[in-house]
Amino acid sequence: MNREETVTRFLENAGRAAAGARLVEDRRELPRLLSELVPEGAAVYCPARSDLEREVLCAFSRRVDDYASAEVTVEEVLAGIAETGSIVCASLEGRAVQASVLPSRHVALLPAEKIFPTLDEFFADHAASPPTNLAVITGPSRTADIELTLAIGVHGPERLDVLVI
Amino acid sequence: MSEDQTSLQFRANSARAVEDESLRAAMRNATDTFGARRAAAFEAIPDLESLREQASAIRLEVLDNLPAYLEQFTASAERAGARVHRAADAGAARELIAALLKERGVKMAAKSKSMVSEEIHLNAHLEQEGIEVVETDLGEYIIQLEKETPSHIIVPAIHKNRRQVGRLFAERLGVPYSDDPQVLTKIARKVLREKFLAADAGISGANFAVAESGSLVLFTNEGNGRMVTSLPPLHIAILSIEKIIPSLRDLPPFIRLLPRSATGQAITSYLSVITGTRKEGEATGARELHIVLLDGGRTRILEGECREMLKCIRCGACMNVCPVYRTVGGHAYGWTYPGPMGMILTTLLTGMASAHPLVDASTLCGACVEVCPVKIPLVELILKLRDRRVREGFADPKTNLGMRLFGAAARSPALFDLGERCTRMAWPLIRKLGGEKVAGRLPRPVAKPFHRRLP
Repeated sequence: MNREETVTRFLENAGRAAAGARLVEDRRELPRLLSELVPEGAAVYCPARSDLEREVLCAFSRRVDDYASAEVTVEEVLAGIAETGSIVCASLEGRAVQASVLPSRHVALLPAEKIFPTLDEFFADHAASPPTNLAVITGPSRTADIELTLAIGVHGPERLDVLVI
Repeated sequence: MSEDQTSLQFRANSARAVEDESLRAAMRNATDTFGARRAAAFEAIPDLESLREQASAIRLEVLDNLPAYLEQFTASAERAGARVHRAADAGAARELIAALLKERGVKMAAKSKSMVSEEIHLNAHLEQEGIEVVETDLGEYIIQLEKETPSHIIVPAIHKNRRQVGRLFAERLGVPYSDDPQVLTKIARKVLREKFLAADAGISGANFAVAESGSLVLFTNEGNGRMVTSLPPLHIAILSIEKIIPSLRDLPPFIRLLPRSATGQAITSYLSVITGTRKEGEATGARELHIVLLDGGRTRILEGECREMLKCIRCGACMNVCPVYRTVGGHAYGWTYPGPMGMILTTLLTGMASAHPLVDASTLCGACVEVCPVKIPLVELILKLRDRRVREGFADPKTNLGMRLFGAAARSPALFDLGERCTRMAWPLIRKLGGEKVAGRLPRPVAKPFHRRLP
């Protein structure tokens, strides 16, 4: 599978899992896209640990340092997995993995070169010494505990957007 | 046998369950839906058979070398900052966990779904010790409010309809009545969020424990599992010893099989891999992680003829297709695990004396064997247990006598022939004396039986 096929497959499968997934050809487009995605005035947690995260800070009118009180988390994630349309958050570089589960919206920034074609390739990479916490995330939080009727946003985010760059 | 096990009353439990129309409607809806979703989910998997073979081989490899893998897991997990404890039985596990919590002054623990914790009756014990335990999985929360036990290992409140849940929430939480699952879910989100943030400890189960890295693997959909394992300063995980897989490299086949078999999803919303405690400079993870490995009779099963039962990954697929489970529901089995896997595991774990009527809870149709993602020969195991029931003297004496007579007749063609003729001649009498009640349940004798029509 070449890069392009991997990205296409990732976008298809992420969409199937009810994540809003789209390809951003030019990373300079990101702040504009994010200001459309994130409601004006919403409390945004963006850790600003990577270049990509720092580049998009200008899109948010209200930033908070405490993810527990944020309405939206915007962050660059460790990896993507095309086979399942998943993103992966990890406790590396001092990142708080909880930031992707507490706020009601999660926006993931995913550089295309971080997408693994299959689960096997991703886990082979982390088998020997995984970080303290790895969260493989596929779509929003969901339950079907009442009559098997799908309800979105139980404890985690009601909405997940993935921007593949 | 635990005091509240009612497996010995399986027949009476079943008879009661069959009378309950709302239960039967709920079970039908749930098992049909899951069955159809499972089938649809596997359509996209080109070579399911080799995937099942692969998963089964990994599980067998672990069972063949379990002590070594457990040692490896313990060493790796402790290297990563966890403490690993072994508990020989339910009582030891309960006391260990209660002591850990009490020593640290824990008043309230948030809990995510764990069948092993149900098996050891953890909540009741902790509450006796003065520790509040809040179930945070929506289904578990519902049945905790209702003071019930799970009726399905994946969807614990499968036996309740939306109106029952609406009334329960209105009554217990003081919220306006609604029977919209989306609204009810939002109510639970709000109530439970406060609990997460206030909890002094998180208690979880685990789907797998990884020997090479010492990691715990949890499949969840709601996100409560992620919070329970990462927000409170103390995390206690309880799992049984056979949940080991050798390496994270072995995880992908189970990711492909478990959610598809359980709910028909290609993958759950969340898959957490937790390796030890929060390290220097990190912002995620519990400060203290205790992993309790429960034996609870599994070492004994491992040495016996039913060891393949320990390959089970608790997907629940066997239940959804089982004609008995679909009819009587989970509570009739009288212990933690229902359905085909449950009838076997319950008998093995709690002993024939506590569970022998359960081995009848099968038509031997084999639907469970066809869907099992790790290829457990469930029907073979059920037959072995039926055999053992006779050997251990728990079979019904009348059935025993009947079986012995039939066995003798079946071995002698002349005797068999005689029996056949007698039945044919006595048929009018049987009908007259027994009426429809007896005759209606028997096959009507034909003039020339099948075996004599053969050339």
